[in-house]
Amino acid sequence: MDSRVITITSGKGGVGKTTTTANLGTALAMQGKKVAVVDSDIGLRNLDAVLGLENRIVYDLVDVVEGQCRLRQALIKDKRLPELYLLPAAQTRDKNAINSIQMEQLCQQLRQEFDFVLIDSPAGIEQGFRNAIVGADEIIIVANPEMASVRDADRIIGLVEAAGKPEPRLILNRLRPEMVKRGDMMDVADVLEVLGIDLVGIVPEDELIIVSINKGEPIVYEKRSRAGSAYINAAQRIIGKEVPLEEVEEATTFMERLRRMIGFGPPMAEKRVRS
Amino acid sequence: MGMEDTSENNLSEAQSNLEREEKQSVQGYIAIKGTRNGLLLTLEPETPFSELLNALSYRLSEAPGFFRGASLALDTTRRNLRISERSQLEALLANYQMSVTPLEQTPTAKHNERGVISSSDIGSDPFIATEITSEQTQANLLDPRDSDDTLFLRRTVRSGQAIHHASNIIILGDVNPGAEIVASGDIIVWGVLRGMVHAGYPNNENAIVCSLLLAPVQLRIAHLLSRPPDGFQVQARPEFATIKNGQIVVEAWVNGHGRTVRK
Repeated sequence: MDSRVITITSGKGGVGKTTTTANLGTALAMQGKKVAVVDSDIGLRNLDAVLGLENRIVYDLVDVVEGQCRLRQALIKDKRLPELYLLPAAQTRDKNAINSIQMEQLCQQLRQEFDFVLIDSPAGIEQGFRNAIVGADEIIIVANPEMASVRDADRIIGLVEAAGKPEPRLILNRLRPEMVKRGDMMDVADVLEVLGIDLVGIVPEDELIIVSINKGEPIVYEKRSRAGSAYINAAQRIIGKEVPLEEVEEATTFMERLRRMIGFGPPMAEKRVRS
Repeated sequence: MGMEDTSENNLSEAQSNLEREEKQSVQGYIAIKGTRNGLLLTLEPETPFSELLNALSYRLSEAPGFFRGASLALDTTRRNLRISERSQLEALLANYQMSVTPLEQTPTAKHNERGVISSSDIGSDPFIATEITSEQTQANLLDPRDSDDTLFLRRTVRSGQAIHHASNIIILGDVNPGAEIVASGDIIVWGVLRGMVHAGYPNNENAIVCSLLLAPVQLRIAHLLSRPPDGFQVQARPEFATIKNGQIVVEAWVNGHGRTVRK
């Protein structure tokens, strides 16, 4: 079977797991892959809303696990992409409603039908997290370039390795190039120096993300968005295509670049953030 | 297993919570005592069942996290329940993933086996929206709206909260997205309805849903399911939803029109 089950996790909350899952799932489906995105955040589901599918939920992941319905009844077909499906979480239950064995069986079932199964993990390192990774072949960690997120990501890498999974890969999310340039934010190298894992993508901070979440339309549909194209590139790398990593400095204005080229601009900011 | 740990934690928290509540003595109709092996529910013999249910519902809803997953033994030495009352009670408990355990399992109450409902008496199927087309055996009243066991809630029902009731439900407050209201009869929301509601569960096509502002994520009546079309603009006026010609129809609640649903 060349089906791949990938869990998106982070440890820390609010770093963009759900946004990443929705956009990677959508981008992979745009590439013609058959994709299921699974919300394993039972009791705090959001993936449905980010994909704009909230009002189509009849059955959920817990119903499937408990045998109240068949898997196919619970899978919600995306509005736009015929090869993208959502398995929503239950909202009125909690993380203990399912156990690791049931989750692993569910992943096996999903494998039969899909090229990619992306699992949106809850924050934390408790049962919900363990359920999310148990059936995964690969783990993608989402981190923001700030200390708390990087420390939590490091903790997660340890737990993932202890669970016998291959080394996770990283999506560095919400990077603000102008802050990095001023030396006020950790840059890509700083983060990688601490974590020491491979990078799948660098996603810049983007106001349009908030608009996209409110509208229930993934940002990868938004041509103007640099975050959107970063997710599309990340999806390409997951498929195995060679795409160069995003240049963090691209936020500089044309005039700045011109000045720097002819030698009059300010020197590149030195990194002041310690790792 | 992990499940056990959690329920024990919940229990001790619930107990301390209960001690606080006991002092306030807000609801006199019901008593929930924490024993070493679980919770013991005693029902006041003289009070109408609907009031007991409302009191219990209120008590549970005040601290859903504390009660969730706990097992509850029912002391009926003072009050016996009818079958329909038992199923309603169990339905309410099911919302909190609470189960009714036979009292004889708890050593502290071994001397008190008589008059206790065991879980096998009650039946194993909790009242949960499982298959909306399935036959419902426990609500075998002809029209659940004729029942006087209407559940009245005076609060906002928030995301993740589920209210299931085998009769009508009236909510004085809002129903937020992510909340779930399931009734065998009518659902009346004196407030903004933004969550998921299912009236007439499972197959009562005469049930209605009405609200001051009707903007549900999803609206179900009996076996039918509807959701607002994309780009739908919510009307800022009282509306009601009924089944007409096999479809869920939403109409403004204006002079005279409302009368039609009261037939």
